[in-house]
Amino acid sequence: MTSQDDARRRFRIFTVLVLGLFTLLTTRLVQMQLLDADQYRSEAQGNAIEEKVVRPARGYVFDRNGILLVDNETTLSVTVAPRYFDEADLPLVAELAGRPLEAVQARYDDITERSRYQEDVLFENVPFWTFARLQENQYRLRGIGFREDQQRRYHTDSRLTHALGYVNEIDGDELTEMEAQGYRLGDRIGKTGIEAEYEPVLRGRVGREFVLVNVHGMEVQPYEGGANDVEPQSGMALNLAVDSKVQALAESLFVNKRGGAVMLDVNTGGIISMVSAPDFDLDIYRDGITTAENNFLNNNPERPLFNRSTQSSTLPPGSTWKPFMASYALEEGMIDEHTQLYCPGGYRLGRFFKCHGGTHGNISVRDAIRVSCNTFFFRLMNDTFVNEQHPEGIRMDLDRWSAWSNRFGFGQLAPLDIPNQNAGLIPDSAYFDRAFPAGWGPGFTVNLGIGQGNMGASPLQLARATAAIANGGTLVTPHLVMAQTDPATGVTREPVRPRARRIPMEPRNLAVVREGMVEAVEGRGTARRARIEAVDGFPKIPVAGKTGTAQNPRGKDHSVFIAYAPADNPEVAVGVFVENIGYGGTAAAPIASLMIEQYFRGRTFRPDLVRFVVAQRSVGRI
Amino acid sequence: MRAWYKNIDWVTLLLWAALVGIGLVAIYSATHGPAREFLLDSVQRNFNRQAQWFGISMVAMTIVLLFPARFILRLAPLGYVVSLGLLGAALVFGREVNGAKSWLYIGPVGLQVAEVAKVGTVLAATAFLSRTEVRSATFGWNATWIRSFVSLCLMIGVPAVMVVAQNDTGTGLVFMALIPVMLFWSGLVPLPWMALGGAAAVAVYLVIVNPLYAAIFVVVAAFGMVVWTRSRGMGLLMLVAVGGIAVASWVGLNKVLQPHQVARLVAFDDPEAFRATAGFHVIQSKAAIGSGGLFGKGFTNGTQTQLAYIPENSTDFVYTIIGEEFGFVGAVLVLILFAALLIRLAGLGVQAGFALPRLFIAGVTGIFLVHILINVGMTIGVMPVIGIPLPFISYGGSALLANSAMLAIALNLHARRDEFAVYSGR
Repeated sequence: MTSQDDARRRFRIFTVLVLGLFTLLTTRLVQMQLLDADQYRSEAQGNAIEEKVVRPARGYVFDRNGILLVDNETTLSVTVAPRYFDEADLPLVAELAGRPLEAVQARYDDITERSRYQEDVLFENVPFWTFARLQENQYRLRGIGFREDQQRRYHTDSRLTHALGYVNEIDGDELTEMEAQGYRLGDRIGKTGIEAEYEPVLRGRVGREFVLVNVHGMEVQPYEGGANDVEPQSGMALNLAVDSKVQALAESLFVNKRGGAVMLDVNTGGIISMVSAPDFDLDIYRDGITTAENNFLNNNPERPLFNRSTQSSTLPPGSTWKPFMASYALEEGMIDEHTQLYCPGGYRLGRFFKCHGGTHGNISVRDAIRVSCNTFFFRLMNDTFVNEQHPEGIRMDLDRWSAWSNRFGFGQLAPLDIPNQNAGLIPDSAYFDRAFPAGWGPGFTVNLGIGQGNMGASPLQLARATAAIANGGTLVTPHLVMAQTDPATGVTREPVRPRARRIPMEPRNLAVVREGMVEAVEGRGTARRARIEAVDGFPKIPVAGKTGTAQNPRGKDHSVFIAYAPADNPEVAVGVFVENIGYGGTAAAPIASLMIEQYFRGRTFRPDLVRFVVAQRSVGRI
Repeated sequence: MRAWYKNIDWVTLLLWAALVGIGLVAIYSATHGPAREFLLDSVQRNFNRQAQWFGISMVAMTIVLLFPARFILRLAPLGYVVSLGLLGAALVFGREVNGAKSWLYIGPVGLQVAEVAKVGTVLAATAFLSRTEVRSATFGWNATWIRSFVSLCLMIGVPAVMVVAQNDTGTGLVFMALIPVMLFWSGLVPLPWMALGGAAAVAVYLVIVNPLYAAIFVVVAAFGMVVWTRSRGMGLLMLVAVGGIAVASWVGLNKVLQPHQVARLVAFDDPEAFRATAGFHVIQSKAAIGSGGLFGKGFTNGTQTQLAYIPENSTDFVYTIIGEEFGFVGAVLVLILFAALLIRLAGLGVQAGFALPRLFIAGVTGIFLVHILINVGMTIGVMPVIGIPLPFISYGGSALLANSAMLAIALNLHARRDEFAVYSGR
């Protein structure tokens, strides 16, 4: 073999070797780029594309006259992306933010436990100097970022604490439940009131942005020019039935008092005012509530978190019960508008139940409401209501009374667009059997006729039942939110609500009760303090009402008042409860009267009465 | 007899220009695409400097082509001494870049001495192997052959050790690979024995991938050897020697080497297991190339490249850019150009008809082949991550200049092949 032939042979071997090796490389490329391309593509995308949740502006809240109650202000949050963040930098972050390392560490552990890939809020709502200091050092704090967030800003003098409810950072349980809806650690969420009930509406639709992220976790540019992004949709604006001026006045009248008040539109059920005192300023949640503040709210004996207008279920309505009691009796046919019952100045059942205001003699139902004759209603409860011929008579009558009370909405939860409500107490025979296992008789139930004893009703229930008397027997559906408006389109629609309920009553019978209530205010009745006379070109507003004094064995009596106005063409109904302040006419009636005047006249003309109410106090301090 | 310049192989020059051009496109994408903002200024200048080096290389090639072949051959011993001197100087005065002390600075111009030493070493080894007494040495246990074999190993081994001492293991490996390449083309070692060595290399590779494959391979190779050489002895040797090497490498891998060293070696095979450390480059590089698909994501549109997920993407991982942005079509085109260049070059060597040009070209193609296999192999996860550049395409002035010069010398020797007739045997 010559050397040249040998070289040619080696050349062939070399050629085969090169082609063989390059074929192997090409095979690998075929596998990677043609067969498994999708897999590598998703890996490359997972690398480079980050999905960001874009939070829409939370819906604004307006009052019934279009006055802005709540909007948002921008706050700054510090975020951390654990997959880029070096945990060794945590002490530096804590130092720059001026926060204890343990707290920061705990928060960071929370975040990493949820997801190492998700960017999350480390500190929300930081003061500007914290932001500035962290931003200055961002170059050496990989994975630390910033985000604009929003918090609620409240505008009017009305606090509307319990109606609006508060917004605060989402907690662990809520997050677990709602993560699928795009909620993330550090998000704010409505906790109570309409903020909670209307959370999905107020929040709007969360947007999504896809951005390209480099190996250092820095955003570079929108992915595919933003073609896959989903625009956030601002939350719906809520138009409340609340009149913020009436609300503000009512809240100021409740200063130093414990109690609640509700004013309703008798035709729609819209809640014009909802007061629970003592309450607190929702601004306390602004910039994050402190532990001390939170403890105060939770542990204060006056229970500011307790919504007395819907949750106070153990306080008996006192004599404000009488119009309802009269309604039942009239409709059951036990009396008619002319029936006269004799009042000897009291009622004897084992002991003597005294009637206030002396001896009323023969008295009709209209006058009994006007002068608040106890005897009349004791007798309705025990002499007439009870079927004495029947061995089970008292049980049957108590259950009948209970059923009527339920028809007026007592002892039941009202359909309502805020959570936190109590049903109150309307006993029936089964209840008495449980409460008094040793047995019970007429002496146990007679008090129910005048709204005392083992019963309880909230201001909301009183207002709603009063509205039913005023509007001729329709039990309206109380609601704070009249309508929701899409801020982008301006399209307004009413939320779907349960329909109003009809109370099966003769219109004439309700008219008799209304006459009694008008007389109580406008005639020589017990509620004269609620009158609203003509003034300065404003005509007189005829008011119908009924005072009540809930006896309190442990202290001063509770002052209760129900009313509707104008008496001849009712528009609003009010239920007011002021605890431990005395007779119904002293505090509750003036409050209701001033609220009504404010609603119809846009102001009040009775500074003396305002001063008189404000000067009364039933609460030590809050 | 044609004038020498009419014998210059323009096909090779065109292939060279195409590869350097593709390299410039890839480097442009890596340094002037959206990725630019994450890069140091010095890295951003890579494109302009590579373009300058392109021009310098063209000038250098022209000069090299103008010199008579004889002059170049006379320079061989001097070139070898200078190469060793430069390597030694780099060890003493060199500047450390990426952990390797392989750069020598003359004023502002940095020189990667190992690249220069490649040229000198190939040239010297060629000159040595083309000497009559070496070429006439018969394979076996005789003084001439042993002297020739040991001398060749030393000639290549000394600079290789010096490069490894600079902490540039990858380039050192390329030097070492020159030994079997030169042995193959010189005929100093018969083909069956070369096959034995090749089988050993494959067996070690398979041990890393899967020891079972290695065992099967050894058995099949031994059987093939028997069929080929009709000698049971060679088959037995294959079984024992290659099998022994495979077992030794398995023991070394699992018992002797430190875990972090093993990690680097085997990360290419299971990058997910080393995601945070040695496997990161491989995973990102594979994701880039794989996601390129058939036609790629388009020039400067590769997310992996432009978002800085690929480290060293204008130098060692330049093939990743091509795979991601120009897809399968671009990646295979580069492989075809390389294969064409290698085969064309080797063909020129054989066509020259004399041992010296053939051996020199063999050395050059061998170096290129090893670079290409390791570099492309590591970007697609079939080779360990060894930091050596892709010839003509990766950014690197010294390498481009040295590779181009070697190409020019090869073309020169081929073009002036007739001049050898006067003093050298076929």
